[in-house]
Amino acid sequence: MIPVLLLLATLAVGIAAVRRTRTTADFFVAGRRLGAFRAGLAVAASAFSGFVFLGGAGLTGEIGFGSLFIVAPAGFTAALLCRTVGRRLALIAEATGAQTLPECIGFRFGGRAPAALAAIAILIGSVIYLGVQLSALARAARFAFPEVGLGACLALGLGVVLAYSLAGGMVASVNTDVLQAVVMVAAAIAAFGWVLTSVSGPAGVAEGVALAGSGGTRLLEPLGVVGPGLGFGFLLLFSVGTLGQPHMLHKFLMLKSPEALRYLPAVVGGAQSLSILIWIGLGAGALVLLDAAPAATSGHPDEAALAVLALPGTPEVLIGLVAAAVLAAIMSTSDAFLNLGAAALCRDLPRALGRNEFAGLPAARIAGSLVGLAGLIVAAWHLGGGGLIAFLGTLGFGAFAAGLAPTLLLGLCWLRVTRRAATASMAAGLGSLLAFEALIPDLGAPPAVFAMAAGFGVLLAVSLLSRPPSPSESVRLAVTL
Amino acid sequence: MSRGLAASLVVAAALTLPVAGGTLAAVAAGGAVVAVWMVGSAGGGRRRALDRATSGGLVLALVGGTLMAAGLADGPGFFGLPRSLWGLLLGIWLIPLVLTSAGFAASFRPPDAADLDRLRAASRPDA
Repeated sequence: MIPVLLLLATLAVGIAAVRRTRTTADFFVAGRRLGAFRAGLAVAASAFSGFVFLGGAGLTGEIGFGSLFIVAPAGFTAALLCRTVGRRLALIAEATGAQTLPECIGFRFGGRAPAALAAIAILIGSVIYLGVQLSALARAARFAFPEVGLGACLALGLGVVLAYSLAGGMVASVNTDVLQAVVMVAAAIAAFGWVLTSVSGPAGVAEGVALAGSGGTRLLEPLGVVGPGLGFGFLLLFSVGTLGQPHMLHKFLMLKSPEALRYLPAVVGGAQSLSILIWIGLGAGALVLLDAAPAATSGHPDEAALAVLALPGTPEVLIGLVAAAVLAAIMSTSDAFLNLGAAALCRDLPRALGRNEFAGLPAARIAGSLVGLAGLIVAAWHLGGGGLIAFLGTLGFGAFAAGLAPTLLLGLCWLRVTRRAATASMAAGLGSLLAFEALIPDLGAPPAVFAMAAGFGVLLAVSLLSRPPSPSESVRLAVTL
Repeated sequence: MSRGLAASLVVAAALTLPVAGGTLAAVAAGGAVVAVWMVGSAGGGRRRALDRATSGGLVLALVGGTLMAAGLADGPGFFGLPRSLWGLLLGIWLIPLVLTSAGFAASFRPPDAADLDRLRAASRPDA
């Protein structure tokens, strides 16, 4: 019942937003009307997806609490974002009216190549991330309705997200994000409380894990199962790499004024940290409760979170709330990527190639549909292979981290970075990520960390070997104010 | 330039270190994050004491947290959970959350109206 109510409320908010979506500025940057609270909840909701709400418990069941290296950086990444990239992006948007990240990169470096590469990185990452969300949706739907095929579940999920996000653009996306963030936080607190009560608190987790399963207490230690390369690789990727995530950064272009930045870290960090409780709670449940009740154990690790809730004695209202939160997490991220991918396809790429953009709302909606279909193909391929959502999610996150984080961090904070360096860095980051994933995926750390290192290295080397640039007054002010 | 360059060199070096031993990787990861944090103040004029205090606290929390997570002070801690897990939860997640959120809000200084006007004027296509 609760998931159905959420779906209806989401559709209602989306339909209401259609009336307020008249221009591409409404569609892509929600009319630039966001204060700290709405922007903060929208950032938190789009950042935490099916990856966190479903993938987290599954991954914890597999590798123990070493999985927390992925989400624990959320404690400081919101302030890190605001202090480094976010402040500069907000200023560029304020001064130039930029509606997309590639436009901001184009403003900073000039020329076409940096903006084109940024648009390509966003398009690739958006399709992968959309595939992650649709995979999570299909897993959840399959668990709830075993008689319905995965294909039907995928198509239904994509249909709902397409309906509201393409009709209402970013206005719908942000407004539904706020609603979805509230549901996500409430469900995370409730699930955490329920699991901790069921296992007699933290001490019960320690005792339960020691008694159950093959991993024993090593599963409780951050580096008990994962090696230092993987653990601290996750920490680096999900902290420094956050600075390249367009679904979070794009919200900085929607702020009504730079003053809204002041409380953004508190709102984003607070909402994300409360949401992390579901990772910890259901992860602990996956470690302790599923082993204690083997008959309820799910077939696939990504269904562990739902299997914990399906254990006898769980209140139905909690099951409904968490199911709604999973749905909310998936939808809030999907709509952001549909809009980002649409902007890259119909606006940024044509502009960067020297052609006229495909202007108007119908073009944006068609572009969003194409991105959605591409995401569907990725999801079908991933589900066919039976891989973990967390690994595909890491790849999507990594594409943005390797392709965009070095250029955005150093490019927006250091005037010495040249256009050629930015272009080479994005190409090196994306290219090396694809090469590592295809040729040597088992590096002892996430391949995206090495790809990000390649991006940083190339950016530094090319900048230092080039003649110092002479940035315009507007660029100098945007970087230093 | 020197601050940005030094910080970015630390980041680039640290990103290649995760394959090293646990303690080295912990210091590299904590150091890289702190370096990125410092990049944010590049070009931002004179930094306030509060900002310095936040940065100092973040250094202590992150380096301490990562070292504990790497098993430097292993053994059971509160509620029987390993100290390494508490190091991760407190040093990487909760203490930095409170410190950076409060520190950023208290020390944030938006550009004043005259600065914004200068930026807008300089950004006009005909400027």
